Amino acid sequence: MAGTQNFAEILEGRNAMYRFLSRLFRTEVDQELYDTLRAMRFPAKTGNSKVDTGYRMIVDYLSTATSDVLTQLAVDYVHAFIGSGNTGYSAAYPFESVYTSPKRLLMQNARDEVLALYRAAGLEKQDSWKEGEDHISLELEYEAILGERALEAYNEGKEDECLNYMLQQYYFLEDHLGAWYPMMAADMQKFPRTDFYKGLGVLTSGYLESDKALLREVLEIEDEAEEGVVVTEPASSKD
Amino acid sequence: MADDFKVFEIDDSFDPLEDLHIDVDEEDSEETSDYQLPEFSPEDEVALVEPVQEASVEERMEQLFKGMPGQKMRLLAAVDLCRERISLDDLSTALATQFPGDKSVYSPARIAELLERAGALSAELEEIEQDTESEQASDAPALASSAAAAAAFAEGKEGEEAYGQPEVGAGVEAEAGAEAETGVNTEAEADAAHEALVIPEEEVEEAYLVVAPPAITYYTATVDGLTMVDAHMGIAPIVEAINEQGGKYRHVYKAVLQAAAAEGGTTAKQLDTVLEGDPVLEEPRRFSTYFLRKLEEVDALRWLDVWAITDAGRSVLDAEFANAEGE
Repeated sequence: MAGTQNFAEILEGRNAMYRFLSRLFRTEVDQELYDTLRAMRFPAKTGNSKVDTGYRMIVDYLSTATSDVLTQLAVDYVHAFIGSGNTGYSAAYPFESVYTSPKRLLMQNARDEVLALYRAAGLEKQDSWKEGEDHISLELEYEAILGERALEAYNEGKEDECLNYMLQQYYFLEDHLGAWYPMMAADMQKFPRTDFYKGLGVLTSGYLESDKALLREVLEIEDEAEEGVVVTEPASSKD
Repeated sequence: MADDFKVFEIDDSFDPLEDLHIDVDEEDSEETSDYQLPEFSPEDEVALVEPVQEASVEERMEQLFKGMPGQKMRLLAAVDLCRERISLDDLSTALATQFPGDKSVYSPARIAELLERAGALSAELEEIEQDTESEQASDAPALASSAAAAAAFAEGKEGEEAYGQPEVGAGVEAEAGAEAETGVNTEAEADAAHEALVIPEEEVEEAYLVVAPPAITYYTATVDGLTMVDAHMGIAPIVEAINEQGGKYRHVYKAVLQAAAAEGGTTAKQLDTVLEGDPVLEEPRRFSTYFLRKLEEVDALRWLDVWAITDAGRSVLDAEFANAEGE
C-alpha cells in the first residue's frame, strides 16, 4: 500500500519528538546534546504556532549564546526546575504530583497511577533514576515507548495492536500529560531566565496539543463530549 | 425578567454621608484634607539625587580576589595574557599552559567574563559567516498534520502529502492535511495538490531555522587592568613579601624558594623537616604552610602536584639571595 511507508514515518517522527523533549527535560544540556542542537535544522513553519515559537526561541538563544553556554544552561535548569524555596512555588517543578496534589507535594497519587501504568506496560525504572516516576521526562519517554511499540506493530502488519498502542498514548495524554502540563508550561514562562527553557515550555505545549489532535484524527475520536470521549472503531486500510 | 433587573439599578442619588450630617465643601476640601503635598525647592532636588559612584577597577578586582580564593594569580595572568588582542580560545589555551592541572570550577571563559565585568578586559565579538555548504547532522522532528496522518493511515494517501519529506518543507504539512481533509477526488486535483506541496529547492532553506555559528570573542586588557597586573605580579610583590617584619624570615623564605626550585619541587612535609628547629619559627609558631601560602599569593610558587618555583620566584631567588651570605 502506498501510504504504509509514510504512516510509519509519521510514527517515527512522533517517537523522535517525544524522545527529543524527554531528553531536554531529563538533565542539563551537556556538550554532546549541545553539539547536536547546534547541528540541527529546526522546522520554521510546522503549522502549529506554539511549536514554531518554541523552536524559534531555542534557535535564537543558541545563536547568541556565549562560550560558557553550558554553564548558563545548567544554571537556568536549576532556576527552571529546581528553584530555591520550599513553598512549592519556586520553580516549574517537573512532576505531575506537584500540580495535581492540593499541597503541591511529590510522590502523590499521580505518581502511583503512572507507576502502575509503567508496570502494566512491563517497564521498570533504571537504578540510575532517582526521581519520582511522574517526572515529565519519564512521562514523555513512556509516550515514546508506546509509540515505538505502535510502530513495531504497524511494521509487522498488526494494525489493531498498533491502534491499541496509539489509543493508550491518547489516554495517557488525556489523563496525565495533557491534563497537568499546561500548568507547568505556564510556570516555565515565569522561572527560567533563558529563552532556551522558556522556548522548551512553549514547544512542548504546542507539540502535546498537536499530537493529541493527530491521535484523535487517526483513532477517529470525536470531539470531547460533555459525558466523555467517544471512541469509534478506527478505520482500517491495511490489506 | 426586566423587572428583576430593576432591583440592581444603581441609585445615583444615594449619599453615604447623609446620616452623619457632614458637609463636604468642595472649595475647602484642599485645606481640610489630611494629606498635604510636599513642596520642593530647587535646592531640595539637588539634595535628593545622589550620583551613583561606580566602584573603580581596582576595587572591583579586589572584590574578585576576595570572592575567588586561590584564583588571584589566574585572574591576573588572564589580564596579562590580554596585553594584545587575543581570542577566547587562545586565551583558554594559554591559561591552561600556565596553570596546568587547574581544577577550578571557573573556566577560562568565565574568568574572562568576570574580568570584563570588573573592567579589566574589554571584549569584542566577531561574527562568523554562515557556512551554507556545511552539512547538517539532523533535523529536529517536524510535525505530521493530524489530518494527513489520518489520511495516510486510513485512506492510503501518497506519502509526500502526509509527512514532511526532505524535498517537502515542514511548513506545508498543514496544507497537506487540509488537502487530505477536504478530499482530493480527481487525478488532476491530486497532481495539482502534489505540485503545490513540493517546495522549490531555494525555498527549502527558508523552511528551517539554523543555529548561527558562535561569534568569536576577542579580549584586550584595559589600562586599569594592566595597572593591577603590574602592581600584583612580578618581582616587587615577592621582594616585599620576603622582607616582611623587617626581614625577620628572609632566610626561611630563601630555604623555601630553594627547595621549590630544586628538580621535582617540594612538599609541605619535606619543608617542615628542613625548617624544623629554627628558633625564629618558635614564637609565634610558624609552619611551612605559612610561607608557602605567602609565596603563592605573590606568584613566587605554584602548586603543580608539588610546590614549584615560578619564573618570577626564580628571579628573586637569583637576585635577592645571590650575594647574600649567612641567610
